[in-house]
Amino acid sequence: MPERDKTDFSQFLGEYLADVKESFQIMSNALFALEKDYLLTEPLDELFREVHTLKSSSSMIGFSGVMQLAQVVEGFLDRLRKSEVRVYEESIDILFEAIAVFEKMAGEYAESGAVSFETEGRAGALRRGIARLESREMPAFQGIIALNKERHIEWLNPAAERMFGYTSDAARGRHVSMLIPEPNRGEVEQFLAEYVEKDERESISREVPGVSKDGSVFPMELSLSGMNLPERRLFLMIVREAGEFKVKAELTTAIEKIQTIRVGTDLLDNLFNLVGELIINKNRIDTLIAPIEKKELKSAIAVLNRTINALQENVSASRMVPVDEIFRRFPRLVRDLAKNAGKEVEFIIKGGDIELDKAMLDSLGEPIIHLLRNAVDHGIREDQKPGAIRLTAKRAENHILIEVEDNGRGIDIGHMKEIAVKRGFIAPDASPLMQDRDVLNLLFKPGFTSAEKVTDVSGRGVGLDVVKTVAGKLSGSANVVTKKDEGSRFTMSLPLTTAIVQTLLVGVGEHIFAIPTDIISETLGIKREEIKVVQDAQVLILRDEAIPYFELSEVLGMNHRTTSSESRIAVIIARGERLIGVGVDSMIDQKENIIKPLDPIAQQFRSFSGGTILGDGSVALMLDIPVLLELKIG
Amino acid sequence: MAHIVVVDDASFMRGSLKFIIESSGHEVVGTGKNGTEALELYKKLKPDLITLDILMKGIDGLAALKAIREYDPEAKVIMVTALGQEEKQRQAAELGAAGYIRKPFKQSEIIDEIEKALGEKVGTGDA
Repeated sequence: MPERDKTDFSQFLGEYLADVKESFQIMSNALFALEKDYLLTEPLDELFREVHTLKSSSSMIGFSGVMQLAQVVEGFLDRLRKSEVRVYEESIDILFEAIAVFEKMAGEYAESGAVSFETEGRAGALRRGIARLESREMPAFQGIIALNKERHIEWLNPAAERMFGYTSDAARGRHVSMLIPEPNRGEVEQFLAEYVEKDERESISREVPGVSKDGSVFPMELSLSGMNLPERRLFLMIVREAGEFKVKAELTTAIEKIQTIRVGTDLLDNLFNLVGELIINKNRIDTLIAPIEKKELKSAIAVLNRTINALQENVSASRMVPVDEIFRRFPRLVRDLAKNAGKEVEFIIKGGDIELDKAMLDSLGEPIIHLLRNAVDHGIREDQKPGAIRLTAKRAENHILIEVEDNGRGIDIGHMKEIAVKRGFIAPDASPLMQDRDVLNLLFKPGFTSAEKVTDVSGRGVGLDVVKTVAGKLSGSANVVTKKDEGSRFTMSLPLTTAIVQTLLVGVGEHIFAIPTDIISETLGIKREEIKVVQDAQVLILRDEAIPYFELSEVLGMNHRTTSSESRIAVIIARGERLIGVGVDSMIDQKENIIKPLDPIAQQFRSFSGGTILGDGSVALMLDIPVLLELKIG
Repeated sequence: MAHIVVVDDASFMRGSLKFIIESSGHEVVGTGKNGTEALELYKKLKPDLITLDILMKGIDGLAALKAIREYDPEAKVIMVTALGQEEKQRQAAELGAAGYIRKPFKQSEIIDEIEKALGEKVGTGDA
């Protein structure tokens, strides 16, 4: 009953248009979510569902252009959600473009019943873009060579082109023996000839050597099969490199797939916390058994400690992700920022494979965005065609450095001083005395902005203070170096991992405090008289250099008289290139400690970044040294 | 003439299905746009047959199928699927779906599938 199938669905055009409108909104939202986190699967499922429905309804209503494009996009989404193809920044761009084209097409169909030439062109570009993205991830390992009856080459597929080094055009018409090394030509030629002559129905295969254009010989597995075209018969040589390298590559990919499983971050966080508890208990047991003279017990506990350390290392390692996870969002951001600012920027990312703790990486997005905004808005000049901004991650000893560098105008320190005075950040008479470094540090103060006018990009009074705040929260630091007309470099220096930190436990009176060891350059015993007073400030002479010095009890406002004790311990803190001495009564221990956040009330005391439980069950507060130094010396 | 409920998240699909079903002489007594509504409508309207889109946001067609068949083991449920969903189709069969309508729709297929499902005795109850 074919006439029964001639349902005219066009009467539902209103519903169709309402559906697609809603659907495009859902798809856009899903893409925005995906853009924030490429690993999410829910937005991909949602996109797939929407495109799937779009495909069906477009087909029924007769909008074949939409249907065909939806089919391509649907296939692409399916491969994305099955993780056969990775999500790249371009994938998201392309999907946004797909929504735009769908919308355009649906509108044009509804209005005129056909798609404009221009939109058809956009759809074509979209299809090619998707094909490109897909092929990037699905390398066809199999080379295919089509031969005619005389064993002359008709074409090579891209894999075969790569394998043998000839383009399909260059190889066309030449005899297949050119792909076989001289000594084996006769034998292989005979094998091929027999197959072609007999016109076998079934395919056969054997291992033979192959030779590429540059003369390198490699083993390959060759399969032959026939293929009937309307006019003639072709023979397909399917070759697969049988050598170690390719096979191994394939094997490794296969094995990697099995070896990787996805684990929710909350599970990792739990594991991490449990390991933390374990370490606290381990430290407690260490303290408890110290006085006990039992060799077996001690050696058993030593083994236990080693296991716990290994466990901690492994759990920490499982939380490491390449910084690329957030870096790859930035090219688009920089492009958009530059466009809005009417500037040309070449954006370079380096060290995307450096790994960082996931929790840390999550909090780095915002400060990096601010630094990039700052670089585009204040660094790069309009006349630079193009200016360059470089985002780098690198390892420096036990730190990770995140740098945002531009080759723009540099920071005008004189101008900054004027603004700082105008806005009350520094007193007018203090201005001439201030060192460049201290002026630059004002950039990290809340509310400081040098923008003359408020732009869309930056200069809204929010900004770089977040860089320092976040770095501080992660037990790291931030600084900037700049040179007029050469550019500026902002650096965030971060410890490799948070939460479990190597700490030095120091005593002041009866109190014990923890200082993260990675900011300590050295510790030394000093005599009280080695501390001098210069212009009302205490300094310590360290290798002929006077460095600022203060007593920890003083900064913390503790009621503790240090004068009674003549010998002091100076903990030398490295702050960028600057050294600062902090005086304490004693050094107690150096330990790996799990740092727990303080409760919200205690967090008001900015001098402490957390607390840790000591072996004897008491709590030591972790000093937030950057904040302390800020309080003390600005 | 059977009473039928149509559930699909796209109003175009609901409209089209309703039109086809009604032009073949049955009555669409209700339409819903997700799995939750599907179960509610089924309980309220006690239709002779319900069609469920497999891919829906939230509670999808399969979950709704399961819930409806648990509520009424004799429920006649036709799933609306698309090519490439063979796995879901297999799951639907296990859950007791009475038939499938493939998107994009063909009127003849829909009617055949509905007539077939209505004609059959579903479940194990005696006639």
